[in-house]
Amino acid sequence: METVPLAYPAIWLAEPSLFSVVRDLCDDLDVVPVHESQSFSYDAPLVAGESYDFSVTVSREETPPRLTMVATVATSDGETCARVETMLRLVPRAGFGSVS
Amino acid sequence: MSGDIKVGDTIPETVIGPFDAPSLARYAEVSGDANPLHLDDAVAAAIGFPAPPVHGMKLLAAFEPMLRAWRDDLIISSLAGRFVQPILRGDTVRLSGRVLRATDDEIFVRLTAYGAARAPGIIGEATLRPKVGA
Repeated sequence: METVPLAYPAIWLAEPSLFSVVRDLCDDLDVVPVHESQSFSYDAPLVAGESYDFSVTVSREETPPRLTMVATVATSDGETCARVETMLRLVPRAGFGSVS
Repeated sequence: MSGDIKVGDTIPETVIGPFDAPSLARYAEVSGDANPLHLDDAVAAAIGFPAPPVHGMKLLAAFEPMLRAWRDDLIISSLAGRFVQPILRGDTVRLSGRVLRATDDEIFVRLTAYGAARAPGIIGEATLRPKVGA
């Protein structure tokens, strides 16, 4: 059984259809997301070639300003096998040049 | 079995990098993280970095092979890290770990990644468990 690297689900978070939510919000707020922390927690390893459901919840905190993305990875039978949390600090765009 | 692992045990240091601009560009392409902060010297300079920082995820992911090389009789059930300060393109990166808690069922390890700066770039943690049947 070939398993998937622990950090691989980060690639799914970068999918344009998902990350566009963050990008649009940051554009509206005129801030830049800076990766503050990342975690991966597994109940079972992900298997290469299998299909999984990947669902993401995004929440925003005001103080300090940040976004938290919590994703769950589940089998097609609905069994959760991993949880992924991404914390993005929101930094004013001023001084960040053209970063987006 | 993990019974031979004790609090304070250290994981052999792993050295990776230095990463050059083509390496960061390849990572951006495959990961989908094309933030120009990691790729564009001018953007990095605009916020005071002498070189673009390496993607934090690229470095955090590098702990997995280090942990697997340490103990292949354990599985890694969690991996986490805080990106404390940037590790810059061109830095040699030193990954290390130390056991903070150890029981027969679970090993908790503190992880650190250092670039050229005195302070760590990443402070992380991992939880490992014995493989079933190991």
